[in-house]
Amino acid sequence: MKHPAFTEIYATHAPQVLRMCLAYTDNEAEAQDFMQETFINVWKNIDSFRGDAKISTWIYRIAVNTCLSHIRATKHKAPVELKETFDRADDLSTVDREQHLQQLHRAIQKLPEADRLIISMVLEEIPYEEIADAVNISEGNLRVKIHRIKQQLTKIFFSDEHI
Amino acid sequence: MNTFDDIEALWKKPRQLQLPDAADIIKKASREKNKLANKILVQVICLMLAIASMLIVLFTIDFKYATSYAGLALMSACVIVFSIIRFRQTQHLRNMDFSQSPSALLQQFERFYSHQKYVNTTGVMWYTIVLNLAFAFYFYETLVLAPMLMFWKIIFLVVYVIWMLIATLWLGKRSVRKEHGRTTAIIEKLKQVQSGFEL
Repeated sequence: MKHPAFTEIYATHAPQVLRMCLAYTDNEAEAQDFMQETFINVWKNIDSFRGDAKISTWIYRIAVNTCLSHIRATKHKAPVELKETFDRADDLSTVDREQHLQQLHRAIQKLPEADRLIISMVLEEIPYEEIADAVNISEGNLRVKIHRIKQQLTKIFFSDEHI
Repeated sequence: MNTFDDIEALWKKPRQLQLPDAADIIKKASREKNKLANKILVQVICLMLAIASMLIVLFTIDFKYATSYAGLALMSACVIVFSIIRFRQTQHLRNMDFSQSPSALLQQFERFYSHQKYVNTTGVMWYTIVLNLAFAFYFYETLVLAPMLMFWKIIFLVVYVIWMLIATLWLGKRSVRKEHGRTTAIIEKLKQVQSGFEL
């Protein structure tokens, strides 16, 4: 019974989790590894999921913890450079869009780790209640943080517009 | 105007993302489970071999002194107790519950670290003391009273002492440093991120 249920859960949530991981690390292969490990943890614990929370919240929490557990204290990333100029998203061609998405990922990388995880969930339109539950903070606290992170990310992303 | 709405619009545009097949994930998870089972099997085999070799010594040599039996019993106890502790540590690490809140995961890592520290300091100290005591008992008949030249007895003891010093003061400490380094690195970073979640 485990496999069909898992396959269904995977099909529904994997794309969202992968995008979350992509916001956490700018390396696509690494993001895929994090996502795979998240779902390995989901697979391992699926029988113990009791339904106290929504399954999506449960999966996001596993994704957050998996990303966090991969942090290495010694790992120092080189400062990222934002090279492209940004036009409105509506006007972009596919190639440009990919480039700008990469640029956005790099801008997210400049945020502190906790903020990266939160903003990736916000961008995925995960309800605030679920985000608060996944990262274990109050909803009020989360709203204040999100407001600040949005401002910070907007500033980082567009400040390099003229480089 | 450049606003957060533009960022959201960019994020929402459909993207080509390559997702691994669900079957691959299941295969990988099963492989991980098997890897742990194999590791346990290897540990059990090593434990059995150690006990078997002690039993062989026990039944093939007709010891005259109770100290030899006491030595062998203590050695077996050391090997068994330490293997069980190590095995439980591996299992504990594997069973870390990633579905709980990040702060609860941090607490779990901290509990694991304090247990790891206790085992690697106090535990290893007692292990070394008891093991050396066991060898002292064992050597009384097999070395001190053995009919061999004093020269060889001294050589044997010197080699034993050097090996014990290397194992406890160099190899052991190096491995403990590595183990603790890995755990503290994760805890430190989790703490740092945890503080980032707070206002």
